[in-house]
Amino acid sequence: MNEQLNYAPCSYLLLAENGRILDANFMLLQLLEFEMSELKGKSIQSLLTVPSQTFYQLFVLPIIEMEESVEEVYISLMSKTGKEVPVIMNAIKQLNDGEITISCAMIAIKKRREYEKVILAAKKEAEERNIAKKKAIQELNGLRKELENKQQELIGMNTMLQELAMTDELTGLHNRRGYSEKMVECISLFNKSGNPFSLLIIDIDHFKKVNDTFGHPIGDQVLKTISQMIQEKIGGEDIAARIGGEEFAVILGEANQRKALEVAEGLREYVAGSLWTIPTVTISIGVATATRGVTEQSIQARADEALYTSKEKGRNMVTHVAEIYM
Amino acid sequence: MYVIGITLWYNLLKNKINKYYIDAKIKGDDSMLDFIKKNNVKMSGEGEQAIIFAAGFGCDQTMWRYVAPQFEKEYRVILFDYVGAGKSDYSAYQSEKYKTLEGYAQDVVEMCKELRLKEVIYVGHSVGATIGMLASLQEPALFKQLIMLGPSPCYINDLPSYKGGFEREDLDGLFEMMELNYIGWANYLSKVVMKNLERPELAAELEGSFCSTDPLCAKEFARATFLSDYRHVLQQVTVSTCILQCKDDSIAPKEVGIYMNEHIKESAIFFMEATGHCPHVSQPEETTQLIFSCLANI
Repeated sequence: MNEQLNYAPCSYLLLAENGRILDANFMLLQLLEFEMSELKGKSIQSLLTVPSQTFYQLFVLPIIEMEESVEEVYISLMSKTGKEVPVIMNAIKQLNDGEITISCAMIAIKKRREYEKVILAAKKEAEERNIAKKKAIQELNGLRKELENKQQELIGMNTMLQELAMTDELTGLHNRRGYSEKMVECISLFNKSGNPFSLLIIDIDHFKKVNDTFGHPIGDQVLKTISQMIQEKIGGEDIAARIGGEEFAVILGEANQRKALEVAEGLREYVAGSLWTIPTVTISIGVATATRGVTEQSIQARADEALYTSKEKGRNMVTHVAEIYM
Repeated sequence: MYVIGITLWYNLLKNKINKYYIDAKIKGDDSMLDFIKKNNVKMSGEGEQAIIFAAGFGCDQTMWRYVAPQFEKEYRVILFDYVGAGKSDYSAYQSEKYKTLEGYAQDVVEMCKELRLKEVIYVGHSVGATIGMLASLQEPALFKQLIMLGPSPCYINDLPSYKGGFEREDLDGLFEMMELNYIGWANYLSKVVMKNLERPELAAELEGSFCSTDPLCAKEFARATFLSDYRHVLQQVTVSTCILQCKDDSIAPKEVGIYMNEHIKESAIFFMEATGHCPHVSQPEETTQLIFSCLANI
């Protein structure tokens, strides 16, 4: 081997076609701490770490065989003392004195290898973190979905509870609370639109006597029947509520005095004219219509006043509060 | 696509391949030919008897270029690439399917069925042999003979009863070495560059979609191959099998070849003069001769 190649700043290895070592330069022997006599005739495999042997067989050799050369292969040599020496290798298949040989030039890359190890470790960590992140996001998404479902459930239950809280159990009409809420809505609407609404306060005449004579089950039956009758006689937008023992309220959404009286009179007649299994039940009604500055208390007080008048005048009667002061 | 179609049709005609495929082409039913694109199937040869050559790990069908042409006079030679290797359709790659070798075996079975093949001779190198063996377990009737070049049912040592040749850390070292040598990446880069020339506007999109799959195929195939253990199925193999064992093969050592020979019922083993793991590349003449003698022996 010529001196320049022998001491060139790279390791050089000459292989026979079958991978047996024919020659090596001084730099390679120094790098791997071998004597030439120890290497001659041995397979290149004996200079490689186990993973490198496999890699060489699987990738490097076939490429050399098929492409005649290979470039920039990263591979790890093994020194005589068992130290791993990572190198970058180029190899080329060529005719040498009439024989096919493989020339390999290698440059040790200790620093680069250390650096790459760090990069690879960082890459692996990043990949693992990415996987973990993806998983965490998936889990979070799952939880969020679950939460949303639960929320939806809660909203449903809340609506139901609200309905229940505003409903009178016996009659299915609104209860006092539901009535109050609707009243607030109606007043606010009236303040905006100026279209009057009316309030009917309905009281069953001599209801205490019904209860005392026929018992509470029959009394309840009467309450239910009256409720049904009220609902039959009012429009879909109107609101009926049971606000006391035998006391009902109806808010007629868009009704002036005349319209309200018509509905109230119709209802009174309907109740009085119905065929009751017990002595005829009648109702007394007080009516008031919203005027400017109306409040829940004021309109109810006026309707109550009208109801009182109906009772005073002998029951089974409708009075509009405006009629009292005519 | 049109040009490819015509060439394909021409080849099919030339090789007297099933009328079925010509019909498919005439009808314009490309779906029938999907598997050809998927596995980059190439057919040649004058004979009737089909012989499939399957590459080993990390290789594509070009590895057979010194050996396969020798069979064209008497056989119908079929070459293919695994999905994720060579010129296969990378978009067909699914991690879930190909995380074990059975996924690749399934493709071999499908390919044989699509080609209406029966009693095929299957020559597989390295992991290609295992894939063929698994395919024969899925559909024994499709195969007449398995010829295994440097096969191994399990690469990891299971001492003291089994010596596969590798410790787990050796394999981790190999996986790392693949990564350091950008195995998969080179392929990926060349493809992006190639496609770039044709349709520059797609470059960005391609980069996005291929970016991780391509090196991933290589990585997952390496794991599917080297971490597999199919020792338990050897006894179920019913197809007549020839094992060609190389000298000094550190990937599939002699003991492994002998182990396979002992466990596959209808098997014979031949010890080659060739050294290393790729005799079909390093010693194509001997390899070709031995395959011919295996064929004569059946």
